[in-house]
Amino acid sequence: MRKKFVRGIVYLPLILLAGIICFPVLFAATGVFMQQWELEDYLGPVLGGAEGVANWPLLPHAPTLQSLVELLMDSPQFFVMFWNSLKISLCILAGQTVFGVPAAWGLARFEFPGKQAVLLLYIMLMLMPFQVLMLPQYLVLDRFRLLDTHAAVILPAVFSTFPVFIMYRFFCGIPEAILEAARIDGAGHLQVFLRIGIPLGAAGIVSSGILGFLESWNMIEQPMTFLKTKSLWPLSLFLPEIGLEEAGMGFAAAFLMLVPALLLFLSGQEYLEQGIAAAALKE
Amino acid sequence: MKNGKLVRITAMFFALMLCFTILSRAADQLSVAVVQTERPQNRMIEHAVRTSGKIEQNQELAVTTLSDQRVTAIYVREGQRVAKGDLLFEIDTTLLEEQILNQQQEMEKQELQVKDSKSQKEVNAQQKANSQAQAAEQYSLSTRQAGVQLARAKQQLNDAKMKLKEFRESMDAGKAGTSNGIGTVDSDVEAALLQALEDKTNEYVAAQGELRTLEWEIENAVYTARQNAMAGVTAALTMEDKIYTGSADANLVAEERIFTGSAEPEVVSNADNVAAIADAEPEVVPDADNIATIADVEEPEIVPDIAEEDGVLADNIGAADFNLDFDLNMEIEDVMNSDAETDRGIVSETDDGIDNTNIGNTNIGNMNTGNTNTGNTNTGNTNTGNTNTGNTNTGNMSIGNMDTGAQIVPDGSEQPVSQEPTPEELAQLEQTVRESYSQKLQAAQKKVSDAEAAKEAAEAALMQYQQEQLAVADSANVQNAQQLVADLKTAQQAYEDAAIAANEAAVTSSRAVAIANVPDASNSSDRMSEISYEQMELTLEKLERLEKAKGKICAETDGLITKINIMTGEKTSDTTALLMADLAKGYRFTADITKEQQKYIGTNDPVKLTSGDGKQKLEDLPVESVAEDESDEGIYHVTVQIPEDTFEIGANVTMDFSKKSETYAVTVPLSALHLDEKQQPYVLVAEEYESIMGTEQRARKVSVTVLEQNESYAALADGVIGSEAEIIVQSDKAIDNGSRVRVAA
Repeated sequence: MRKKFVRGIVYLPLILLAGIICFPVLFAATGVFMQQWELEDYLGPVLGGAEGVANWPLLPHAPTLQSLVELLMDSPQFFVMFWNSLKISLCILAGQTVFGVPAAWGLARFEFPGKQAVLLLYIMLMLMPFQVLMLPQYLVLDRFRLLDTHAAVILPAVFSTFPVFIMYRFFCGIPEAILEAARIDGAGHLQVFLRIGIPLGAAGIVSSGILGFLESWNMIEQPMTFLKTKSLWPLSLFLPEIGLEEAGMGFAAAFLMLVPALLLFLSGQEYLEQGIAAAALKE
Repeated sequence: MKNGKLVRITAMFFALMLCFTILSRAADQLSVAVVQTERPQNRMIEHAVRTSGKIEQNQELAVTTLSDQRVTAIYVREGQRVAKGDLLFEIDTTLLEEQILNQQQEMEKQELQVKDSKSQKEVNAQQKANSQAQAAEQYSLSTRQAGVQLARAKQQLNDAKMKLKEFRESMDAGKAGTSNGIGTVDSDVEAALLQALEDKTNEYVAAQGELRTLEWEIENAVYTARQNAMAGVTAALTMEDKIYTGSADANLVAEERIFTGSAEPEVVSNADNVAAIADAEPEVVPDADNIATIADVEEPEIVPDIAEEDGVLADNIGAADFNLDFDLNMEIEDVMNSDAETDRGIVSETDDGIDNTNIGNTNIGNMNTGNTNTGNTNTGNTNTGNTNTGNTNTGNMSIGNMDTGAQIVPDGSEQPVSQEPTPEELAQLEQTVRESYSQKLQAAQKKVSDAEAAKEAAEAALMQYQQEQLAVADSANVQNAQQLVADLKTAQQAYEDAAIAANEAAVTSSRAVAIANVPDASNSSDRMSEISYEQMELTLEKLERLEKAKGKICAETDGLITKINIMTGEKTSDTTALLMADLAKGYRFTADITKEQQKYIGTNDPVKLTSGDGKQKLEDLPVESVAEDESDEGIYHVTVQIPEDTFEIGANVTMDFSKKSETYAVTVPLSALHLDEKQQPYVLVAEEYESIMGTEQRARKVSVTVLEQNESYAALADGVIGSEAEIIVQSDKAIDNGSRVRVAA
């Protein structure tokens, strides 16, 4: 009984904090069902220059699906961007899978001269923010004549160092004994990689994939810098285009944008937890 | 949550998104207008003008005849062609003959009337001349008679004096030396007394004359004032400043003179004053206000002054005199002559003044001078002179008008008194005039009575002296002396009476002369009768000409009858009998066009004419004229001369005309041209643009300047629209600037 009470005391602030953290999500969720005039009423002081202070009710006064319908039925632009985003994100994920997994395996499992230097370079590159890399990337892409194409966004992300680094840690965690056993059984390098490395490093791969997807789904700077043609823009650039007059549509768009990421997260949640747990166990 | 379920949800989500993608695109496409575009082209703008009009004759002739004639037959109908000389209609000759006879008789009457009025005029002239002569004769006779009587009375007076003197001398001689000194003294005393009496008598007579003149003057002034009030003062308004000033000067001079004159009755001194003032005359500032003031103050005295002047003039000419005579005494002849010379100078100067004043003065003023020359003038004439000046204008009128004159005259620019005065007003006016004179009249009357009293006093003094003398003298001589003194007194009185009578005669007869000289009203009845006669002659000539043609009226030229205003059996009126088109002058086509159309059609442009049924066509006919309608703005008349024997007069004909413009680089179909809310023309150009959806097309508004346009194309100014521009000429939906469009293949 006393234990329960203590637990309750511990939970209360946690629930409170969770509620605070969840509030923006609630904010977005209720906004979807508000009418345009209601949104203007609430957000006017912030966005439209009206007097007073912005406030936000927990439930809309006049719930409606108008914004959602409008977005879905009358905005082909939204879908263009949605599919663009999906295309970019999936391509990046695929690329990272194709190029990052072997790279991480190689770095984790092979000894070669200068390996430490390469690792150091990877870490340094990972630490560098996009703003630092933007110009060199731009120059390179320009030289390759890749500017204003999706490749300009996809290719740099494909060869990003972050997923390699995460996977490297996972591959490092595979016991050498298992690999040796496989070799003894006559497995070659490829077989060891495919049959032992990937299944055992799946948690890391999925983790990096989820993180990579979330990053690429939300990335703004790269498309903004490298894409000029509006028809190539991802969904992340749709929201900045929306003002107070289309606030309802903005909320609807934000809601729809959240759905794939949420679904993906939920799908990969198990692997993510496993990966984190594995990483923790290892040490 | 199961992974499989999540995957299904994800798949469903994406499927849903795909679905909505397709749906939204389909919905989007529905709102996009499908348009057709065209590139600007090189074209000429062709303007076609089509209008209908009528065929008209070039010239229309009016056939007229005398009015009030009965039409017996009409040989033509409307629309009929006639040749030159063809009989048009006929009128009744019997009625015509009757009219000619009437006209001749009327003319005879008129002729007689002309003769009558001519002879009447002659008779009137003769009568006028007779009466003038009669008046002049009467005047001359009466003045001469009065003069003779006066001279005779004077002679008797002198005789009486002489007798008394002789008697006294004989008495003195008989008295011996003792009383000799005393006798001489006595006779001297008596002579002085006699002289004093004579002077007083003369003064009395002069005062009498003045009073009479003044009375006549008042009557005259009243008459003049009435006349002026009746006639208004238009003449006064026409007077120029200069003239007015001149008259004012004359007034001023006259006034000065009369002022001195009233103080010193001697003409000689008057003359001096006048001369001096006349010299100073140019210095008088012609200020209207001053003059008015002077005139106001001094007017009442002006008239008698002028009278005096004229009297002096009369003296010079040698007519019977009353004024100067008394002033200077008859015996001092040479003095009188010298005075006369001075007077002449004065008179001529004053006359000049009067002339200046009376530039506008016509008959009476002139008559005055004329009379002066012939020697008929006298005191009376002086009055007529005044009448004249009073009658005429500004300055002089003010003299006659006295106070009332001040209202009417002083300023030449005063408003005219145009209203007819009422009898009350006239009476009032008369009263005013009389009042203005009353003081003067009283003064004159007083002067007369004073002079009489002085004269009587002088008589009494003389009588007393004579009585004393008689007391001293012998009783034998007393009776004799008394007799002589009584004779002298009688003679003296007779002389006085004669002088007054002469004065009166002169006044009365000069008035008769003035009346006789009033001109007759103009009479032009004889000339008017003559004119009527001439008019009748003309009418007769016309009637006779018509009769000569036996009442037939024929066409003077080839033509077409367009209108007939007469009816068989009815009488003709003043209006045109019939109208015919002059075929020799050709036909023309006329039509009305609008201002828009007028811009493209000009003189000598070839046009095509088509008859109403389309059967007859004439091409390449030059336009004769394009003129704007005088009354209806925006409507123009086009005239085209057409050859003979093509269209009938009155036919409806269509005119076609086309004019090609220069070649314009940018022409668009008229359907591409729109007008914005400010009525400025614009076109919509389809242009591609990058959007999220990819390359899309939308309409862009381009304001343009239309250089020229017709029913299907418009030429636009270069520069705004390139030759590659896709101009939207047709759309399946209403589109505006920024509308998304899709260019149809």
